[in-house]
Amino acid sequence: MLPIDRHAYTNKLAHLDPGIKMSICAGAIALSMLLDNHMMNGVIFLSLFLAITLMAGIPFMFCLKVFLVPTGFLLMGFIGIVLGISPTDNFEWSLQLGPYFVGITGESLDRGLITVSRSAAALSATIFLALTTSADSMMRKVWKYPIPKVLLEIAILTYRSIFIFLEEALAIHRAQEIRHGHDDIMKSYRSWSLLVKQLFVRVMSRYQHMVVSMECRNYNGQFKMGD
Amino acid sequence: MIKVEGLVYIYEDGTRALNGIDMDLSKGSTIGLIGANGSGKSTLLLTLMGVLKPTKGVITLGGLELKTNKESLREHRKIVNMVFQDPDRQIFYSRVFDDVAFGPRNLDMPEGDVRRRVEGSLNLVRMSEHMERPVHFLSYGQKKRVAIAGVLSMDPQVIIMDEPSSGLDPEMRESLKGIIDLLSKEKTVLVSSHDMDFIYEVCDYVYVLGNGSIIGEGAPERVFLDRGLLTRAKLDMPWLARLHLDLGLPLWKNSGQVSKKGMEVSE
Repeated sequence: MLPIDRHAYTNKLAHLDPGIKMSICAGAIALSMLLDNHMMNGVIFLSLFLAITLMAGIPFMFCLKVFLVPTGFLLMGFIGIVLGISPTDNFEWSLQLGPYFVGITGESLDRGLITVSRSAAALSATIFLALTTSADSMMRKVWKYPIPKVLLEIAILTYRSIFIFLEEALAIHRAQEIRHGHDDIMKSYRSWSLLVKQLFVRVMSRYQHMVVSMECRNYNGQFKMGD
Repeated sequence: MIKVEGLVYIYEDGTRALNGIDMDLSKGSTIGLIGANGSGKSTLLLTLMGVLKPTKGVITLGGLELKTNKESLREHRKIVNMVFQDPDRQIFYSRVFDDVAFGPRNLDMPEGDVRRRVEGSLNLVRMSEHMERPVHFLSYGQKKRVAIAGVLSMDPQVIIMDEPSSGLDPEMRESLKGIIDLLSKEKTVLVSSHDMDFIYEVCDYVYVLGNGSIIGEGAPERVFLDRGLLTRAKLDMPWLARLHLDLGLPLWKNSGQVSKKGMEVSE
């Protein structure tokens, strides 16, 4: 089982109504969008981080790892917003590189901080939802609303399929690895392409089996979720 | 040879899959590993292959400790390799020849050597006439043999087989026993299986795994007659052992001996 998924099912907030958790997430994102205050965004981020680690009881190190993933992008974005290049030195702090000046203005710093803090707040809201609420319970909640059932069915099937694919991909990768298929980068590329091809073949084969099994169980085109 | 000392493996979620395992694979030429589902067999095999890094403990090959850096693993897997249970998860090419050649080609061998090895391995598993065929035309048993050939082509000294007899028809099962017998003359084969009868007939040393620990080991004649041990391991007794213990018949090693006796009796 994927770690994120496992936490979603076993954390201390797992049994809380998914509607509440989704509202917290949506509310936090809305708040961070409306406020132009990077201090408030920081507060939102911190409170949700504490909610994840203290209230939901999710291990601190694991949380850190999950947050680390988008941090790279945030950092790149921050640098992109904050730094400017100009032939004239309009900056508060700058470095000269040849005919150009690269620097930071008070304004660009502000914008950078707002963007990063807003993203961080929104991220913490999404991660809060992902770690405390299983996709299963979310879909069951959303089922009752007037959203096209087809979309939800696709979501449910995709969710189930992810684990099947990951399991298959991992098994194939291991088998390739021990036969030296990933010993260097070129071999690894070839092995990955073989893996993808093999996955595709397996998917088609599984699909055929799945159709047979569904028909045996009187599938009539609807995935019912019950009440 | 391969030795395992104090092997402990704890999964990310805290499950203690292996609880201090000691093994010596020089104790036999065909070694059996038996245990109930969840006893830690798969975890043990994956640590032996270097796919999983043990939490504690040491695996040594010829006295040298197995380290988890790329170079060590590469060398290790030239000597020790594994055939997984599901052939579809370890056959990647469309043509039999290409798949069996995967290992040797990854070792950058010249094409001539690769061809020799592929032909030799396919010959050993009696799949030579399918060398040029597409894999999806093969039956399950044939695919299993191709998977074995794919590992044999790397000429490892130790071959691990995970549930090799599962899903095989009786004829293929017999054929597999022959293959393992042939291989064990020059190599060490480690067979992990639920098929008690198969292990009993094919192996000359058996390790019994229960709840992540080795709860028994020894010659099959000893291990498989130990009712208490088998019950604790949540396993069954092979039929030939039962005939001996429950009906007082002689302890025969394989079904061939039984047939022979049967013919003598009817004369």
